[in-house]
Amino acid sequence: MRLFRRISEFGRASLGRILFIAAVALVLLIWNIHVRLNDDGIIRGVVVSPEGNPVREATVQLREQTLNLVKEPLAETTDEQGNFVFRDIEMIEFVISAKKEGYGTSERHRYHLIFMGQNFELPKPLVLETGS
Amino acid sequence: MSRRRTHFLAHIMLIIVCFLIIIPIYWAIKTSLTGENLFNYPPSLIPQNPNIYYFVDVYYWIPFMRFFMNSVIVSAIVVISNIVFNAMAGFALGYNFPGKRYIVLTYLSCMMIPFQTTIIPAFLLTKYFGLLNTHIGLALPLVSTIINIFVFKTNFDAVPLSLFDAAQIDGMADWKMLFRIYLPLARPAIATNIILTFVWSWNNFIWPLIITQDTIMRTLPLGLARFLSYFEDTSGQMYAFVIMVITPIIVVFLMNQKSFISGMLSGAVKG
Repeated sequence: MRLFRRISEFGRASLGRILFIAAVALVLLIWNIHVRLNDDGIIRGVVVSPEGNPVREATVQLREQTLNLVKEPLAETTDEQGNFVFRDIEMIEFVISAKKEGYGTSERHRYHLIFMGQNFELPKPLVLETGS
Repeated sequence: MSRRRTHFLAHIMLIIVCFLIIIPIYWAIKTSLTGENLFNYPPSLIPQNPNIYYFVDVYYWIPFMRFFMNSVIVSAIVVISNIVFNAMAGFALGYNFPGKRYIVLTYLSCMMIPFQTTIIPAFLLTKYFGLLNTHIGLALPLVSTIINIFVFKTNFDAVPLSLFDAAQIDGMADWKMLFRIYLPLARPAIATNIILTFVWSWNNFIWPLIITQDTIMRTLPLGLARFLSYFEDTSGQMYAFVIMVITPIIVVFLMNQKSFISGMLSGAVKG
């Protein structure tokens, strides 16, 4: 009984702190669950011609953006619908571009992720431009 | 009327002082979110295109969590040992014993010796005990601090002597008296100890720099120095790192500020 009274007194006095710590813990928990569910390292996108038609068998190059290392770019080829997928990507910042003979090269786009291995879909397609 | 006018002027002054204190912190937060160069002219008050990417870079480009955990472990050791040892010393100084005056004088004179002058003997002692590159070695110079001993002493002096007499009549041992009677009554002193020692330990730079050889044993302030070698000093990553380093200190202070202020004032009102 005495112990219960002491615990309830402590609880009343420290309610604000307990709520604060609980809120921080909850946010961290939700964030960790979100990361766990979205950390397969999948980067998707689509390559299109200037007219907006999907381009098949275009080569997409993805290069990690680092401070002091020059790394070999990764490459994938697009499917019938112009889609490409990179898997198991462990980077937080990268530059991506596409090219195909006869179509030209796309602009280089730079993207930053929020956590390592984040699943990411390019917000806009890579547009191949003739003559570039 | 005159009194109201004085109040008004005092408030205007306080608002100006508040702004002067808040602006650098606001600027650091803004730079950490925008990466904007500090020397941009004209400076923009409102952040343009804020993002959290600089924080992400800090997290991944240096072993941030490792440094953070090192700082947390060392600070925890420092805070706990300060509360225990300083309380014991403060309690002992409440007694009258031969040579007490000389001990207090020694303490006071030691407070005037800067740590930098004793750093070589401290290093040699730590090496002798085999504590280089360890958390305990990192915490060692701060395990007891003189100013906090006096914070405890002044708080304990304020405890009614009748409580001490009653405990003695009941045959209570000294350590029980300290931990069951005096410490529960000295919450402001404990809060002051927590905040001061946490801040000192968290911001400690020179000692960890000297006694750590492995990168994995480094603390956050050393991480900041490492960051400076990567980035130019106005980059968003550096300010993001600064915000990540100071946030725990601000949280600890905000959680204990009421007790901290009363702890600092308790010595001031004593005769």
